[in-house]
Amino acid sequence: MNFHRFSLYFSAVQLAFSAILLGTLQLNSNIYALYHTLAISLFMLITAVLGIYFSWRGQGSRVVADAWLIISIVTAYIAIDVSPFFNSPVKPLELALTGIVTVIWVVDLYIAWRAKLPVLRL
Amino acid sequence: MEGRGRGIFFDDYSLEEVPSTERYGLYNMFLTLSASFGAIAVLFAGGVLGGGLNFVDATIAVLTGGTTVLAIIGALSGAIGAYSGLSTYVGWRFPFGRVGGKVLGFALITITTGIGWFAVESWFFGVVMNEIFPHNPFFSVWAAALWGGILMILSTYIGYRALSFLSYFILPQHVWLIAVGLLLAISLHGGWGAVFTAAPKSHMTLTDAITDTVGLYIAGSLIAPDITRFAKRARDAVTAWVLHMYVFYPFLILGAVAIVLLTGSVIITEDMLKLGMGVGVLLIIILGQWIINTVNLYSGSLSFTNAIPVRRDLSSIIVGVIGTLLAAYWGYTAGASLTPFENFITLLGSLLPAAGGSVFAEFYIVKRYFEGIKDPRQRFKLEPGREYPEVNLVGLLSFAAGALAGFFVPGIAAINAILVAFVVHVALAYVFKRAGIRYEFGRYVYRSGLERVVR
Repeated sequence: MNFHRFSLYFSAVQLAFSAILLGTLQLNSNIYALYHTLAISLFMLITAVLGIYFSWRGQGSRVVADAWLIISIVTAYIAIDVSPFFNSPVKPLELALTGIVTVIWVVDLYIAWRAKLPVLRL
Repeated sequence: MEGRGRGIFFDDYSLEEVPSTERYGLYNMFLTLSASFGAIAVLFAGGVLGGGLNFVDATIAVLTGGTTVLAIIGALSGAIGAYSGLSTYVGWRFPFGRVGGKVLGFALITITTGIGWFAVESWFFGVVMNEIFPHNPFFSVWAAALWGGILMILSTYIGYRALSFLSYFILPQHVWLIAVGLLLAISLHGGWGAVFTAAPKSHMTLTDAITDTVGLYIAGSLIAPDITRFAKRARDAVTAWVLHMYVFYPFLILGAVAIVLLTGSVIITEDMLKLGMGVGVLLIIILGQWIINTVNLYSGSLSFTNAIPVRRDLSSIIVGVIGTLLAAYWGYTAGASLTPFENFITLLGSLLPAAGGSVFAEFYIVKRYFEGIKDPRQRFKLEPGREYPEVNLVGLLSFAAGALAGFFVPGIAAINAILVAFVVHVALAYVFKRAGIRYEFGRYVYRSGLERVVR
């Protein structure tokens, strides 16, 4: 398994998801939900670009650091977004996309671990 | 993790220099140092400013006063840790001698941070859990304090690796949750416009505000070497320290100020609960207390090992169990006042800055200029087989002078204590050396780290 290639693919997927989330901003019926979606989509956009750059340059430990950061923030987003306060028509889509992002980076960390990269030592 | 033929243990180089192969980079340092801001108690403490200052004055006090002062003190202290590779308390053997370092480390850190604040935070964890789940026996104050304490002891047992991992994964999550909570609470109670026009309920001077801001994190700044000894380079430690001070500290303190100005109390968790964000609130409390108590207990275990030769991972169990039982007892006796105990550990903790002043004087002046050691890596160097003093009279006298100044000289107590201890240490060392009078007594032979401790 080529860790850098997988990370590149995963970052590209996340980039696409962040673009979709940015596209759904107008569908939010609640101003708080809109800001929350905006924050997570920008975060995902920036970390996806960083992920693509680090994977392209073969900087494994930086990809791992990026993966931890994404998992950490996206799970926080999900924990808050399940609240009824943030109800909006696009919420199921947002939760699905951020859920997939969490899973792919957990898989990425597993691949890094199998590739003997220091996953717990940044 | 270390294994020398007798199983796996996690001593974390408690009594020796961290080797270069076990050191970490800037990003790790930044996150691990920031772990100290994990506690929601930081918000409550910051909220005190909101009771006496308007938002603009609070911003001036926090940014120009507190944050900058703490950034400088922590950078000086963190650089010593990175250069020497020694924990704060083992480093104290140079300005105070081995016995002096043991006694001061045990009194000022093991008792206050390791047992005292660990117990207070564990008890607080139990109280908040009980408020969220009032009718579940598993979440009664004493039970939650007990299992919460055990969770924290487990991560401290592993040591720096666990702390790093908590920082990679839990810290960004925690900061996101707190940020959303703060912004929501501000929005729901009138927004930023209201924050800027809100008047405080009482009056506080800027000096008092700076004193509070500095006092809140001065201990963390002075024991920074416990973490920065793992830094690859001193500049990584300094950069990480300054960055984390300017990124997180003002954000949390000023966030708390804004909420208190609007509502009179720090209520982000209550607001989040009302909005149905139970999971978010639960995570804020569990993860926040977990991180901060791991940091507390880690320093407590290092100072305990320095005082009593027991492996650091075992020390974390001994100190942690005492703290957890104390917290569970407070929870069980429901209504026992913590105030006398909190006053006691606050009093002990207020002596810490004086120790910092002596350490700075020894490292940056005495070793550099009086003893001519230019290479900072050699200034606090413990070499196996070499003899070192048991007691350093200059360090103990300057510590006493600094502590007295902290209590009696008006102004910012912590800064007074550091400056007086620093000046007295330099002056006494100069006079004693010029007069040819010995001020270091007793000798012991240093026998590298784990060779000395009971396995």
